[in-house]
Amino acid sequence: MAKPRVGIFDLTSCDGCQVEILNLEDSLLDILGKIDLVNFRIGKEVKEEGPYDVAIVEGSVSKTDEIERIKKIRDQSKILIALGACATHGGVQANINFMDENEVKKAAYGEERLTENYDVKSKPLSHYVDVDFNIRGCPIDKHDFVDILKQLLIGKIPKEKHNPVCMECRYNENVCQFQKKGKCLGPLTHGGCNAVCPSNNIACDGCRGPLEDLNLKAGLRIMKENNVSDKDILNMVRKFTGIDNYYEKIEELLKNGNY
Amino acid sequence: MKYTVSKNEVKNFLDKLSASGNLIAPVRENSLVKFKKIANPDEIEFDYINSKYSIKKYFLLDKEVLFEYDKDSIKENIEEKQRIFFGIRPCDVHSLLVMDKLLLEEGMEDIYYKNKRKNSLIFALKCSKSGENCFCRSLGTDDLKEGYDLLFYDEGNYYIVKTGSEKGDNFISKLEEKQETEDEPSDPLENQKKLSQDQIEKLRESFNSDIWKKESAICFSCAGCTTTCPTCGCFDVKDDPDLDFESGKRIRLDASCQLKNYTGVAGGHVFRDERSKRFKHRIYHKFKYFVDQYGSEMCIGCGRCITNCPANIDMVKILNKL
Repeated sequence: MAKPRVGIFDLTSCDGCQVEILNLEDSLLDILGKIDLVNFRIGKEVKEEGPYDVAIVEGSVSKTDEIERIKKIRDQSKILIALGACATHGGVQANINFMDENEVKKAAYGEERLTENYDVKSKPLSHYVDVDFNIRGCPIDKHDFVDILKQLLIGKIPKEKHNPVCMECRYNENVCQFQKKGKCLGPLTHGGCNAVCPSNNIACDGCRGPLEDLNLKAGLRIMKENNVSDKDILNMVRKFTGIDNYYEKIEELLKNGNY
Repeated sequence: MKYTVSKNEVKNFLDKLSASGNLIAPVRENSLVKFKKIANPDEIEFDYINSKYSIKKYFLLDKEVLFEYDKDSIKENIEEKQRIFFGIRPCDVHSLLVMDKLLLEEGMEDIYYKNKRKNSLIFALKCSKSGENCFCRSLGTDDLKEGYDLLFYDEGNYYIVKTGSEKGDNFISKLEEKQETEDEPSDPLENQKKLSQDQIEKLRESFNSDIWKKESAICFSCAGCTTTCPTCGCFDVKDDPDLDFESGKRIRLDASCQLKNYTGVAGGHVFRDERSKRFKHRIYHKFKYFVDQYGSEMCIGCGRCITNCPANIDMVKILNKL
């Protein structure tokens, strides 16, 4: 059987998730024995055009030409996988959606490089195209990348566990950030990260994205009981997941005191 | 048999045990008491209110490789190492007895659990005071009739030690400064949460009560309760093939009835789709379904589900509202 043609692409992002793939030193050669990696900007000089069996895309859609690019990749691919927080939820650069555009550009690029043309708001891939699977996190856990490839290669439909970060936080025997009277997005956020932030005494800021089955009001209620300001909560939410229906819903609940 | 043993002699005893490298005991780490492997008995915390996290992780891991396979063979991952647990509270010993009912049922034994259990010595330590969320007295799990090799009662200047097995007798026989006694150990536990059998019985009439919806409104389904409950042992099983696809391993992963996809089935249907149904299920399993099946409560009254709930949901309070 021919090896599946896989392309790894990037839109607006830091390339960190792709670097994580290159960091798979122990298994990268085994992986390349199973797939035909035909396009991988940061890892391969020669690139082939589509069609692709699997396209893996890092980054958010932040420029007009990226809208066309992601649509073209989607058209050329049987399976599309979003790679990392930018692709799944807009990422850090989605802060531009809530701030003065020119101020952000100046802070990011300085006066002299203000030519970068980020002319649309930063959106996750799913805003423009259908995404089949997510590899979550900022950055991704490289083992999630291997896992999803393995499942596809043996013909399984990759399944996510849908557990909150809290479960993994308990496995690591931490003291709950809420019980320390702090803020945390752990109970609202997809696990799979082994609760790396709370285990190092940093509150979860939600890089793996909101759970499908979250209880927003309950989360906000506790943070408000712990005297976390609305601004702090919103800043934390939009750090990685400045997506409309999540951020705006939280903003509205906070504004109306409805939690 | 019952003995009085001086505290000094117990310290010497633990000295020898820790030298074996198999001693696991409570240790204070920042604000938490955790069960850890002990190299030096000075690390052991004797005066603690039951630990926030139980000893479950030594018997049912959150992630455990069950076996490794290749084309020709299967290699079971069986724990053969001897372990000695000192300082487990009676309620947690009861939790092992509950797990035994589930996982050591004749003909359906879980060999991974069985071996860990078989190779573990239990030296329990009765509590001197109750924690704010303890309700072991209401469930009769504050003391032990079985399930221990040795059971220590702190009597101030000395311990009363009960032996509960041949292995326990052997250990005691090696102690020099000991005296047989007929004295009953003191029973200092007070100020606990209370939960009566009558109140538990009310669950039989409360399945359709609207209390479940009301009380679960502040629940995140974070699974803090089930993850830290010493008698919650639900798991998922996953195969993880190696990249050659000819070898790999089968892994058991902790699961929680509080998560929506826990009752998801092929075709996409979810039986307990609403949070309140899952919330209710945990309480019914602990206090009704398990009682119907095995004759006693699954809950051991340690209060960890209360202690570990970020939303301060208190199961005992809810049961008392029925």
